[in-house]
Amino acid sequence: MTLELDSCTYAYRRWQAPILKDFDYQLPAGLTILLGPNGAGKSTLLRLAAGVTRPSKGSVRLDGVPSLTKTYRSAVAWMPQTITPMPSLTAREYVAYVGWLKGMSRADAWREARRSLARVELAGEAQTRTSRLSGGQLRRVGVAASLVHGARILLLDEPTAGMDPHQRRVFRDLLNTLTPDIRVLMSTHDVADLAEDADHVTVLNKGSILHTGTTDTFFSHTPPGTVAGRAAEGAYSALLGSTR
Amino acid sequence: MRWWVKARRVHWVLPPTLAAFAVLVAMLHNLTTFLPAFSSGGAVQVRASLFIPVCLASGLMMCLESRLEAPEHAAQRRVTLLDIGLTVTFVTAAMALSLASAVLTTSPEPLAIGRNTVFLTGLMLVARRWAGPPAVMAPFAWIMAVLFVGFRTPNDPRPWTIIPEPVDAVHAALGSGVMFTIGLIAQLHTSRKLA
Repeated sequence: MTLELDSCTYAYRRWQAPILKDFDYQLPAGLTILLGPNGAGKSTLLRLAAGVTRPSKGSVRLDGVPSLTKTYRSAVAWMPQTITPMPSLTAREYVAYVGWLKGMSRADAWREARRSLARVELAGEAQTRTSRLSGGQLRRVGVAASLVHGARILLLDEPTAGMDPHQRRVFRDLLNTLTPDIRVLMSTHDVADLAEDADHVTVLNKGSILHTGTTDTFFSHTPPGTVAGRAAEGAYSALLGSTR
Repeated sequence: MRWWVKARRVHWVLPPTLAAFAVLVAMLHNLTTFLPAFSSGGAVQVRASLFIPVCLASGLMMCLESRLEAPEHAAQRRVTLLDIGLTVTFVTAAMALSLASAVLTTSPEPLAIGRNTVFLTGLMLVARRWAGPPAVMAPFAWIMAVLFVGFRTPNDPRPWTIIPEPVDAVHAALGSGVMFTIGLIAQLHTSRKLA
């Protein structure tokens, strides 16, 4: 299973400088953490990989299947930065609707919605309207929605933003149960919190890859004398500092 | 599809919008008022019913914009045709109410309101292609433009205005149909653009 971006160029407006230019990337197995400062191109990369945005040049493929096709979309799940609450839908209906949009039958979507909510510890809020959920709960609904249709690739854009420490722990445990079977690409700013759980780390800056490789090679950038527990932050700062 | 109906809030928005439309048509179809104008030497006498389609267009926009943006972008199952069906349902229901009102009141005026609803809804959908949700103001902006610069004399609207034209004006009926068709095509492209 290979998700590949080949020479992708993308600009939000034709007259603007591209966010990504001639960008090549292949998503490795397991959990890959996507790091980078604001505006580095993380969300754009995730949108291209999700098949919701067409590159102006280049191609995005999963095992040779181009993005923007039904086959591609059924294999990929994407959770954006912002989860919009829908006052008319309960948490379970929200997740089931996303499953239905992904091509599941109504009965399957309804059943799997319950399971997905249980996986993110939200079974007790299944009948709560999404407009009444807290920001952290809403993000967990977003995670449940991205899990509902059994995608093989999971693209998560800052999924832990707004979660309390316990929920982050639950989320990390959930990711650990998922990654043997599916590939996960997750952008985050929580370097210290998450880098140690990752199999791979990719660092973007100004639309270019500064680093991509295993977590060990990422940590090899940690400057000598870094305070214990701050190794990930040290490595990240060193990588960014090398471009300035 | 049940969840799509709930997500679009059709069950909350459509019945009260149509009820309001019906009441306004019944109450205002013969009411005229004087409003200021630039092009016809001070004021024009217009029908208050010109404004009625705005309520229906607003209700439709509320439904269309009540959506799960990201999941619908990344969806395998497209809801574009359902959205177009919703638009056609709104407009067809408005036309039916206008027709019923015309029969009950034995006045042709409600039919002009129905025609104007078709035109202004199409205009809003075209504007939505580029402007997004603020396009809900497009019907009102059109009415204002008609009032200010759309009259040669107080009782002689220019042909492009469409909405103050009498119900038997063929070019206004055709123009409304064309605008609505373009609006539906724009709605199809809006969905693709969003996707």
